[in-house]
Amino acid sequence: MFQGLRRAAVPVATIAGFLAIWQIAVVLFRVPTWLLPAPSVIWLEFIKQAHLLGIHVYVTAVGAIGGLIIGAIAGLLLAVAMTHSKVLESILMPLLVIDQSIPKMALAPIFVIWFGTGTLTRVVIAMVISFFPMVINTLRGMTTVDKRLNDLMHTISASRWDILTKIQLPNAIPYIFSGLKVAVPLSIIGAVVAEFMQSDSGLGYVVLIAVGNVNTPMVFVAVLLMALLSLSLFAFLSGVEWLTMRRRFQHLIARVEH
Amino acid sequence: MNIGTPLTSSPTRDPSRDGLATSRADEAARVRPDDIAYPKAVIELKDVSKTFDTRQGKVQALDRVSLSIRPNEFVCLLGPSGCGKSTVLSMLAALNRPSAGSVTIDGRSADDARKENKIGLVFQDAVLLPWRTVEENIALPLEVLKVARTERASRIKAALNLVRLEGFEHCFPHELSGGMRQRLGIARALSFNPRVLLMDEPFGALDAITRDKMSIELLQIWERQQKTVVFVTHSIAEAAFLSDRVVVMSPRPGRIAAVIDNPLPRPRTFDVRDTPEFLVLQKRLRQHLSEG
Repeated sequence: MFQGLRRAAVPVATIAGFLAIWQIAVVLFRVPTWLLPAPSVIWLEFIKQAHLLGIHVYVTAVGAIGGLIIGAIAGLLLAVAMTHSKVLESILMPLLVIDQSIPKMALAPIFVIWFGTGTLTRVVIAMVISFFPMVINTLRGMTTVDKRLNDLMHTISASRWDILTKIQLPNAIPYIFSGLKVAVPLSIIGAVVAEFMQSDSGLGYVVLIAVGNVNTPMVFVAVLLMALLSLSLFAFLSGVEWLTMRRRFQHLIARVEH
Repeated sequence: MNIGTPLTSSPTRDPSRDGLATSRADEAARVRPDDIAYPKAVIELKDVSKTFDTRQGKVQALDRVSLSIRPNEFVCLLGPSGCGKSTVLSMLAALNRPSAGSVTIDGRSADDARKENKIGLVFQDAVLLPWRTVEENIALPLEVLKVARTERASRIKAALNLVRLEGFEHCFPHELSGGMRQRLGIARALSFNPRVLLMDEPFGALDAITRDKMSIELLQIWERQQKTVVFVTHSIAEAAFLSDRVVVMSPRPGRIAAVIDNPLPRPRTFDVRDTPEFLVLQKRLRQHLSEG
């Protein structure tokens, strides 16, 4: 308990110190609010508008989480397909690399044409950018299996299904969690970019409107809410990861902590 | 596999060839009574050669290796690295096919033997599933072989008892010592009662003291289980202590330099290593190794 407090003390103090310097600097140098609002101003703006912001947080969260879930499932399935067919792997790998080289943000306007300005576009953009880290990580997790385990499975005439469910997927679990953690902030970027294009709600929309009104404190509020959303998703995933890994993957957790 | 078929065949009937064939058949018939007197070989390698294609060109890993292993025999393949001992083992496990010659287990191809679950594999450093407990690791082959749940439980219990891991069923591999992990590897290999146990330098990663203990344990397990064991090692002392016969192999290309019968009495204890016979055997093995 005491150790936990001490571990939390350093980051909390760092953030508090940062906010304090920010506040003091803005007041001291009389930086205009439209250029850089002080933390206290941002906070007051948040309190004032909080009742209006809930719906926007919700809309962005739905887009990001929806895209994340679909992207994760698609990535997982694709990785499974690629480990089980050399032909599929040789076809899909170059496509994946090309896909990753395309800046998804540049495609956002096209997605708006295809899918409109609603939730669907948010989900699609969030999906296409969170998909790649999922494929790559799952693929790595499934293929970094000791070759001798495959030999062992071969000598007992194991089916592909047995190898997949008993060896490859369990082996990939820690990698899948790493992929998800990388994908979380990406999915929020995806949802917000969709809102930047054209929309009538969401945190991206809030940023656009606030910039239009030169309401800089509101811009900061929206951006901080995005960060908070990303952090809570990350924390949630870490919790799930801990619950799944603490027993069966203790050998990995122990290695990380030392 | 049609490796044994001749490359040339005459379209017309050749009387001399037919004659040869019948005489071979007669020979086979005459040999048969002996089979009853001497137990039939479980493992039979006939003129097995193996070449691998590498970037440096063709590399001959094995050159006409012939060997037959009797039921319940403990045979050690001894040799330096590159002598093809692991290649022999992988052929017995049907992970590899000979380029020429034949490998049979119980008179059938290694692949058939594999399909009939006659082969148990034990590796260096055990190769366990870190996310499975001790009993779940033993259960792995039983699940794959679709052994019923109740039957599975009793087999796991028997395997745990055999390798003295009772009380550790719910531990994870990383919580076990190196020797215990290796015992778990053996228990997993024996859980489905294979006829042949193939062991690839199983104690190679263990410290000397644990290694000695494991040797004794392995002999005890083998005496209780009566399996045919093919044990790959590069330790002369280990081969001399464990085996009924030692197959000394030499490298480039891998071939059999000598097959030495082990005269040491069983059951063996550590004391056997202080007897003159043990030292003589070790000396002979060393000589053959250096000659090959």
